[in-house]
Amino acid sequence: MRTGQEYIESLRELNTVIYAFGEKLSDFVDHPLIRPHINAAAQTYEMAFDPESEDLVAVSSHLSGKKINRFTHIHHSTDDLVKKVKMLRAIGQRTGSCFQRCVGFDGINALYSVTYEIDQKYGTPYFQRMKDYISHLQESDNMVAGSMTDPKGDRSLKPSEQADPDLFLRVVAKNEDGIIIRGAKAHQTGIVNSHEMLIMPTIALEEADRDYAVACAVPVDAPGVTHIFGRQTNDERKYSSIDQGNTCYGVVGGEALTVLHDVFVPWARVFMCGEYDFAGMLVERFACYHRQNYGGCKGGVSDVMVGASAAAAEMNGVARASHIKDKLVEMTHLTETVFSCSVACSALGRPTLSGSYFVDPLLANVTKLNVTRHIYEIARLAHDIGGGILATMPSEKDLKHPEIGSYVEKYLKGTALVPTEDRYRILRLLENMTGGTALVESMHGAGSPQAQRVMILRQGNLPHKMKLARKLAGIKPD
Amino acid sequence: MEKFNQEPSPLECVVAVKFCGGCNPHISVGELFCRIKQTAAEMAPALQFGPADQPGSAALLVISGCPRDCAGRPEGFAPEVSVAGELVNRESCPFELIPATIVGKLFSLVFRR
Repeated sequence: MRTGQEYIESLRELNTVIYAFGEKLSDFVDHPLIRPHINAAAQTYEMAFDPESEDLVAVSSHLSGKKINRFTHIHHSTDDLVKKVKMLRAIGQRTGSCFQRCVGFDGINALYSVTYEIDQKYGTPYFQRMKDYISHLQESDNMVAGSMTDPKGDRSLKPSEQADPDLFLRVVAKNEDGIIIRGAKAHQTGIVNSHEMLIMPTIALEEADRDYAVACAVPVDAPGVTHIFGRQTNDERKYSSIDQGNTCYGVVGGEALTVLHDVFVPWARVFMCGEYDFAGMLVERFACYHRQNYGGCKGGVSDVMVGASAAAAEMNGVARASHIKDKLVEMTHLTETVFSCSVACSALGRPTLSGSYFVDPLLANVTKLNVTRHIYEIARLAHDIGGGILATMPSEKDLKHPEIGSYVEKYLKGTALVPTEDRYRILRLLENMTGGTALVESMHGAGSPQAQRVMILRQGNLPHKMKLARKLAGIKPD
Repeated sequence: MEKFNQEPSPLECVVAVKFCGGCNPHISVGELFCRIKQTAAEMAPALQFGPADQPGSAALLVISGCPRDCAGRPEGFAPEVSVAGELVNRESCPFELIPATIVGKLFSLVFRR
């Protein structure tokens, strides 16, 4: 396993091409826009060595028997699935931000079971390749970005019907050595500070879309791969300290638009190529694993929001007010609700044909749909408790200014014993965790709410429920 | 409080320590472990603490942050003393009293078997 520092140093050896604000970054590892996200991801490495957290973050490999980082593990029990959720919460509490590594983790678990089932039907060699790839990941402890979301162009059209065929990633050529792919992946969490990307199709496909049915692993610095780093709300604050709020770990995961222009992938790293009838299964497996996460990581991040709100109330001198306590109770209730959902969909997981474990898909989608609402409500309550000052505080430069700093210090003080700078720090943390990009990520990460609704309708077993009602109403069966 | 001063062989007094992982701790397990080590240094200096996988340990101390007590136990370890939130071996114990209680129980396990 790599330590956090070894992970950070390993990124320096890559030739990752990253653009941000119209410039090509020469040293992305120490760049203020990127470094907080690297620090957050480094915790997924560091906590595997910390005796206080290793019970969750380190695990024995089912392939080698060696101790590995859980982010490279294949779930083999419901206990594995529950521990994943607990691990995500524990890391979220430490970072207060997205630590990005779950996406690739979910990708390898989804592909592990799906490649087994493709091989069962077509006699392909994907499952063995996948096991070899996972062995490589467990040995190297590489960070893998899960690359599913295509730009999608006109959403009413299938991939093969788009005006520009590259709006969904596709295979443009094959030879005896491998395949060549072209397209892009959008909203790529943590990809600029990953070692590899795991490409998967983004929707269920039909025969006409056969070229789009491709799953493969690509180094993030492979020839032809370009990352264009996304903006975040308040991202200019990354060049400051206090005003950034969470200076060390930033806000959410640091997303990028990743372009793959005629990128070569050797056959050893190709896990699906043309089996369009398995694209839907792969998307569903990945989505459910990823939706499972959100009560874990967002639970941990919400723990920090609850704590920051309580601290802000204390600094404002209103901690004893009954309405403040009531709001903190509500925030805690919502946090534990999303966590409960994640635990539930894990506890009710089941084995797949490959022997790996899959979450309960209905409850996983309920988890994520709750997150799209509850995190907004938690943030709303945090704003309520924090007060209007969350939106009006002068910058830290004014707080530190030799002429006017004393005014800011004097007039923005809360209770007498708390330094104004401490109040500033808590309120800035709260502000940055509860607005803009942080909220949108809760809405659309792991799929937009409508995607969860579709799955809930499909899994909701309405005929059974109608039968229950008809029976109790005394209606004779047909 | 009894002052432990028995001096067994070094191998007999190593206690392996296992933490739960800390997804939602009710107590600070890091702070608690520091206090346990401090208390042991004062009351029973022969007690040493090692990692969970240290071979030849005389006992296992399991520290979980909440009453769920979900820390995984290494195979083949017995006996153990467990802290789970403000429970010691499943009995309620105020945080302030946990270090001395733990050291007492470990001492009994290691030296009075």
